[in-house]
Amino acid sequence: MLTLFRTFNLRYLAKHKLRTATIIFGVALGVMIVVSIMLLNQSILRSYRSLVDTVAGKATLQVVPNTDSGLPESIAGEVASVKGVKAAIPVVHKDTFVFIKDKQSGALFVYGIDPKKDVAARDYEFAKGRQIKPGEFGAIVVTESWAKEKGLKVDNHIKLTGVEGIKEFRIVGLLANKGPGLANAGLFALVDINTSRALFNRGGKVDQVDVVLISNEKSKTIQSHIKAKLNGRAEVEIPATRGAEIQKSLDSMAFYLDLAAMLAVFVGAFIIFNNLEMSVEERRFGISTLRALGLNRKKIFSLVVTEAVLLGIIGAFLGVILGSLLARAMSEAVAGYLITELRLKITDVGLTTQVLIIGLLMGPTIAAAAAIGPATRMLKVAPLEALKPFETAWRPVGSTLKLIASVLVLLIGVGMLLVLFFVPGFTDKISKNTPQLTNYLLVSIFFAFLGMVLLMPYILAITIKRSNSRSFVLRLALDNLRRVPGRTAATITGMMIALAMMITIVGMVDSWKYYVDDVFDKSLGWDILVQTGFFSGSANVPLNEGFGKELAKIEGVQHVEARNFPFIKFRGYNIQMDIFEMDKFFDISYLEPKDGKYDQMVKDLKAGGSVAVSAMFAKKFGYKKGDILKLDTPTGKARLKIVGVINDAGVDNGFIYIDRRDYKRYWKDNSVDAFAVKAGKDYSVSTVSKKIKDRWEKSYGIKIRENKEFRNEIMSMLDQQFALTNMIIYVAILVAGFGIMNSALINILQRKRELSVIRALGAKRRQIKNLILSESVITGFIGAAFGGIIGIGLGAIIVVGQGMIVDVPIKYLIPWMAIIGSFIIALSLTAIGSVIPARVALKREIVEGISYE
Amino acid sequence: MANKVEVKDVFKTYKRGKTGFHALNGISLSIKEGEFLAVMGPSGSGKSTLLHLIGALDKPTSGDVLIDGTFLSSLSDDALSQIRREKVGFIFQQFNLLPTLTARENILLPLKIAGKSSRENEKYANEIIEAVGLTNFSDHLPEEMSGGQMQRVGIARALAIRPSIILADEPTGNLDSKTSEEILKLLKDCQEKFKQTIIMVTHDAKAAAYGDRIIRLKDGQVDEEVEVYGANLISNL
Amino acid sequence: MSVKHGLLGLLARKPQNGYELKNSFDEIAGGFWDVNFGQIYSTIDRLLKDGLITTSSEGGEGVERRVYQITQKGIQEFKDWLDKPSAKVRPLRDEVFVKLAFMYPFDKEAILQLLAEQRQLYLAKMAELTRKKYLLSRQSGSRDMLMTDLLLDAALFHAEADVKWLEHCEAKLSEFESIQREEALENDEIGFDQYEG
Repeated sequence: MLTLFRTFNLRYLAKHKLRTATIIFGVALGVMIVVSIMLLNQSILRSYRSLVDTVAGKATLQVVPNTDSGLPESIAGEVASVKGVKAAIPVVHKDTFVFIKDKQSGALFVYGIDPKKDVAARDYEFAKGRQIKPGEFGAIVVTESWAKEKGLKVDNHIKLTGVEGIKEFRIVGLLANKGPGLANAGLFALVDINTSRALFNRGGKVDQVDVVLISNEKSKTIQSHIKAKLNGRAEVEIPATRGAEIQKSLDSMAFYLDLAAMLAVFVGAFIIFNNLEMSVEERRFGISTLRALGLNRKKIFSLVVTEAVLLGIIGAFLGVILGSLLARAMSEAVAGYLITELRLKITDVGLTTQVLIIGLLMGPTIAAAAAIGPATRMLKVAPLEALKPFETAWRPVGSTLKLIASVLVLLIGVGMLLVLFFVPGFTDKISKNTPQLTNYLLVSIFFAFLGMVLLMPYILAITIKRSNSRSFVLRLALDNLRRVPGRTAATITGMMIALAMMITIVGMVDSWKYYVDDVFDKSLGWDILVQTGFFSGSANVPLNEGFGKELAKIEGVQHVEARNFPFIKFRGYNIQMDIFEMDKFFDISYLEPKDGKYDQMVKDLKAGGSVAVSAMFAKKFGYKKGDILKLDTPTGKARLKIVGVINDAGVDNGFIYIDRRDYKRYWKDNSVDAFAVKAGKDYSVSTVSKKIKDRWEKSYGIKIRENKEFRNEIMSMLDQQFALTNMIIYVAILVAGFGIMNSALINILQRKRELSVIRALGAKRRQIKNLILSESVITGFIGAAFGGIIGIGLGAIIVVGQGMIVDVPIKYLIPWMAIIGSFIIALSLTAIGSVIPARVALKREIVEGISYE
Repeated sequence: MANKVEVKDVFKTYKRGKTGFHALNGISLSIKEGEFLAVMGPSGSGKSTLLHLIGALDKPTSGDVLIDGTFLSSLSDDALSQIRREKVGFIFQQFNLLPTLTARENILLPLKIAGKSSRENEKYANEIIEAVGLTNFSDHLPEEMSGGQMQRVGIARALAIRPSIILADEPTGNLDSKTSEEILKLLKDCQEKFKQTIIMVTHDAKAAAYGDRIIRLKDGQVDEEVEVYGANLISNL
Repeated sequence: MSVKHGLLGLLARKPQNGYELKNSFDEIAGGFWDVNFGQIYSTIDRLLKDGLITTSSEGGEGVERRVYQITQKGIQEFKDWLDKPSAKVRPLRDEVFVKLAFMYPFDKEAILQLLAEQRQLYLAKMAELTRKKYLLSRQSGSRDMLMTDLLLDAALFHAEADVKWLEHCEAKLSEFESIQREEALENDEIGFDQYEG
């Protein structure tokens, strides 16, 4: 058997180096991308965990507010009094921007602690210097790794952004690289708790109380006790579940990465299949001879599959190595986004055992799966059948059974998608659990694509008819495509899937961007937004109300109003609250009520004690206008009447719009996330911006965003979400183009004789070139056409479905530019890709093809 | 009468690894218009190579091939293609039909390649189809035809362009003796009726006997030559 | 023997005299089977003796004028012969072979020359026969034409076989010659210079 393998398989592989290399490349491609994405996902998760775990230290529970507004100081004492609690340690923390030598140099997660109390929760070990002293103003401890990266030493000075502007700190100690020193990958610092209170407008408050239990006590019991005591004024959590906001972003990023991985696997499998099929076909004569010599079907099958597995293993090794490298590159690309948006620093995208094993198994599995088709076809080779002096015209497309199976697979995929988007009860149930939703989506898309791949030969057989064209080039091109339905289908499908994905995503993003921009157009209203960070969440350091008064004094400033955007935990979800000064808000901005009763809504909101909610929110949680919304606040339960349901740009779970006075009353928070400024009629917006910038940029580190700028930034955030996926899609398109070229090459090689005969009959070189070009271009065209149709369909389903889920009147915009672009891409790629096969075909002397071999 | 085809001191060498293989070794030959030349010789003697060179399917390593006084080496690729399209009809031993085209479509293919598929040419093609006895099979695909039928398609294809030179490479190699006879008769008709020049490579002495002149190649050169007297039979009657 | 049966066949059709019989023979045999009057008359004598044919007249006008008829016995003999396939292979009385037997090994050059010339002659002959075939085919076919055609084919096939055999001889003789010389070289019977020759 080994001898057989050596002669039949190994000798062939050694002789056809390019073919062998291509198959290995196909395997490596799929494995590489999957490995890199898995590593990336894992390392992001690890970094996120490190943020949470290493900071939590010995604390088994954490008491946190359900918004960013902080909790009253007294809560620590209340928690400490609960039976079983050994210590309740208060912490004030915030992400803030760092300035080194007056240049902005990233961000830090600053922990304000009472050094005496804090040791109960965390073990600090110092590489240099010392811990801060209680009440030591202006002192800061940073991590050794961060200091090394920034070139800082003990006694150096850095500046941080605070509510009252940029403040200077002296480094008194460096945390060693363990425990808290590793938190947030080193982007971690300690200051005195009162310092941080002053810095971040948390006077009399805490952001979190870390709870250490007496050793034997059951954490679940204590947790419920504390919860009962607090009665909804704060959440009591296990540390690992914190930061749901980050989790959500990571999940959605992970989804797109997984989608890209799936695409890569498809494309890789398609390359393997293509070449494997050809390599087996070329050995048809050998196989028929072996059969004549008595080799049974099972052996033939196993020979082919073994070869594939062998190549799969080699490709897997290659793919794992390349994947590790790619992960490193991708983490560089993604790092920027993660640090600015999520304050997350990725470390260590090193290869883990788990991923290694998956990668090594994946390769041979895919290769074996791809080999089944060709191997099965070889079973039908009769002994000595290959001695026929001519080829049969058409290969059968496939059995009826296969057709039915293909249709079924496609229907499953499409059906799952339709059910997800258009069956309301199901949608709600599944979207509760993001990983579950993600997996459901991935599975449905997988089935849909697989179904298309399997169905394509049949579709082709119907669409490409025998042409009676005058042009022999066109006639032969179509004939040739029809003759190998499997191969043609595979190449078309490759192009089709890649383009469909591109069009789907462009259509999705464009439709949403258009809608959001439209909403912003109506609802933003301001000319300038003044804040220290961007928009909301951990990226922003708040300002105080006094700042607003100063702003109003600037010449040209007609209207100043404070806005906050905190998150609140509501029924297990993170909901964003928009805190507006309702009596000023409606002077410049606009909210569109679903029922159209605008004036009444404004009146009610201005009156106070009321809220407006996004349509999405109302739909998801089952509220309607007139209902009472009960919210947990640090001061107890707030009861607010819903006076309007709004059509807005809300995604996920929507917004709750609350008047600032109510917010201050319930959450006791008077900081301001951003000031909305409108310039007077006779003043240019840029002049006013400049004045504000000149006045406060240096001292407060504030950022000015003009309306257009802000909207563009939001748009680019939307784009950025898909940046990575888009990159992979472009790669997929290139690979699909490569696949078409590869296929054309295979076709040429298989039709040596034919092409030589046509030349012998007097065809010019140009005519042969046209023949090859036509085949490639037709393939590309069909791929683009189907890709366009599917892309539009899929995009429409997703957008309309999303619109229904979030209950906004979003319209699906057909991405014409993307569609035209995809045709251009497809046609150019295939045209360029036909150059090499044409050259190969013409390089061969005519006699080589027609001579008896 | 000028020579239709001239082969002057032609060498054709193939590289087989490090050594060269001399298919043709300084061969010289003149073929008159309307002549039926049979070329015999053992395998490896260069017969097919000679035919390929005359048919402009290949270039000699050195030496010249002339058709109607024109040096083939002086022609561009497009001009050579034109010769293949219009002057020379090549009949292959392996039939070499395109599998997706019917018999008729195969026969008309050279005309389509030349862009000359006019009514008139199609009518002529139909006559040829009748002449080769394929009228009932003209819509069959190659896989539906017997060897003899396919070879007839090959011949019809070569004749469809009304070439002045017909090159036949072992046209009866795959056929039984009865079919061979019919085909050889057809070729003889081409010579006698239409004054076409025929050069036929064969290892079959009975086929070679249809020629006016039988030459034998050995080691890439003309080794023997047998002339048959009385060139035009019809006029001799 | 075939002359005997050929005559019987001719007489089975109709009675003929010696002269007519010769002409009929020539016509059917296509002109490449020369049978002379001597053979015919000696065969006729044998047939008469065996009682397979009779003649109407006795002597008189001249031998050529005598008309012969086939007898019942003759008809039966002819029928039996017609139905029975021949068991014998053609005898190898080829002139060429005899020449070969005597020429070799004395003059290799001459023998090869002979073989080549013989081969060419056969080829030329084949070409002639083929011409005849072709011209025949241009006329509308009758049963006799078909027979003639088949006879021409027979000659052609046999000539082809001879041509093949001659080529075969040439190949084998050349090879044998060189092996012999190699052995001689090894056995020191001849020197290198003689080997090259």
